[in-house]
Amino acid sequence: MSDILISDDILMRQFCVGDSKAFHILYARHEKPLYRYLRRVLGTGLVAQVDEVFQDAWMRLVDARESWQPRDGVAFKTWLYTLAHHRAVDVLRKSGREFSVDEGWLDDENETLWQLWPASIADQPEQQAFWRKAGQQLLHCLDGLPAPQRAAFLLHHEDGLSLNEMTQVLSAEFETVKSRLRYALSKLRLCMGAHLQPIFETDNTV
Amino acid sequence: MSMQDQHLQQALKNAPDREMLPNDATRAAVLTYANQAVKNREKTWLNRISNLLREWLGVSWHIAGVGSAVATVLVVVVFWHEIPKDKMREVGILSEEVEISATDSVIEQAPVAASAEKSLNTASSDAIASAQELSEKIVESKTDIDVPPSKEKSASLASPANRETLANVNQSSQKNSGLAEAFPQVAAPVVIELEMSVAVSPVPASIAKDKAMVAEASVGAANSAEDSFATTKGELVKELQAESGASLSARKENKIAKNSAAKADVLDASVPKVATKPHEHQVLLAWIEYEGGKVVANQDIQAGNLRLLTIEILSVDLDGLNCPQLKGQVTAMDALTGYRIESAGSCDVTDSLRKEVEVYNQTMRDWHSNHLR
Repeated sequence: MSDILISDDILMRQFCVGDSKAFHILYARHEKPLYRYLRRVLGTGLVAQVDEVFQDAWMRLVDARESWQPRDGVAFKTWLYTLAHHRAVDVLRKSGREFSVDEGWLDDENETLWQLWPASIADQPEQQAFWRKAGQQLLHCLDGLPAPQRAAFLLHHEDGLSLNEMTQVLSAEFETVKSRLRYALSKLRLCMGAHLQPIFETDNTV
Repeated sequence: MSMQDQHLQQALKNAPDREMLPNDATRAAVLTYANQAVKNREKTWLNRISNLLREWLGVSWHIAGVGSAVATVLVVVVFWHEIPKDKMREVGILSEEVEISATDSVIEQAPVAASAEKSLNTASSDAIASAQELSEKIVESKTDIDVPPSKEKSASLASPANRETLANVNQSSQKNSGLAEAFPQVAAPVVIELEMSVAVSPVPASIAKDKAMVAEASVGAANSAEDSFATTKGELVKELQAESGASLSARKENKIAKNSAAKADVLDASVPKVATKPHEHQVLLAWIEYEGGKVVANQDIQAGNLRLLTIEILSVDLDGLNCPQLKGQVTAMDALTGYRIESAGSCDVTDSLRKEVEVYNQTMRDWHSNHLR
């Protein structure tokens, strides 16, 4: 559904004045991306709790609708993801899984290798199977990331939030968000690079 | 280092969890919770009213609740039964008035000729009297001019410009004397009026200085006086008849116009108005696209909201981000079904949306043909 037809903010305003249809439309728009985000942030270890966190996030949104003010410059999507992210962090903390900022490492060699990976491959239909496998590998790599870095990567790459919006969702400073994203990218490139090495070789021989 | 990585994005797009959804129970729980929250919001208002009643009257919650319910029912009953009746009664009264006024005007038109004759005679006798009075005044003012100026007023009247003007007027009145003799009753007031306007009324200094202008004005006035003399008694009678007829017909037209305007207002009031909640129609279109035209139409039919929809294409604002709200949604009535036609604006009218809106309208029409024959 096109966002131009009616924006999230207007739908939320309608819901605030008692139009439940507006909520249904909002839910339909964000159901899949939000669910995916939570599933990935919580990781395979907490996959059983994804539905609960997802449901709780929406219910919190319904309860807090009176306090929602679009004039503050916070878009509906940012607000929704903030609620969901905070709930996910609570679950991660309770579960005893790590939620520390791992400053990690940077490997220049892997960085260079990653840059050589042919981008044009994305346009070739015969490579669909390869990308599906790559996607699976990426999920595995994401699981290995610390949760804050994982969240930063997903919000930026999957949900299209800007760095400024991410500072609100993650309740962190701009520079912190930026560094989390950088570390996440480095680790993921390394993880994916090792997995995709055979593809590089095939591509080079062709 | 770039913050966006297209390779990782591509991998994410193809990840196997791409199409995963929460289970149906989760979805149902969320949507039910939202619906319940909306209903609770409505209930909260009733609770607030009953709480207020309890505070004011010092009665128990149950009595306050029952009291507010009774009050609500009373208000609903009054509005439900009284207003439409009154409006219909108003329409009836208005139509009766139109009929009565039409017959009145026919009756009124009969003595028009007689009254016209009468008014002409009255006008003529009045004219003779006023002519005598005014000619006396003119003689007086002329005498004032001849007398050496002793006051400021007489000085202004005795100015060369005024003298010339008066001379012109006298000439023209002499010229017209033949006609005046032929029709003394009619001609007299005109000449006298003309003379009076020059001789009696104070002339502003600026106009008095401009001799040519004043002379021209007096000649023009004299000419118009000549034209007036050409009017015969018969013509005057005709004019008066026409005037009285015109005034009657104008009155009648006014009355009919007033009545039809009032009638239109009442009929407008009887046509169900489009709800003016902001963005309601944009939500409706999004809802139709989301649920499908048939489902939404059936929901509206169940809710007693019978209507047809048209889509109006709107332009996105300069930022390219927001679609403006449709202003002044046109309400019309469908000739076939009698349902109101509501105009819903959208900036993004896709073929599928058009199709769904058509399905919506068709469902409404089908319901009409199946149930109201």
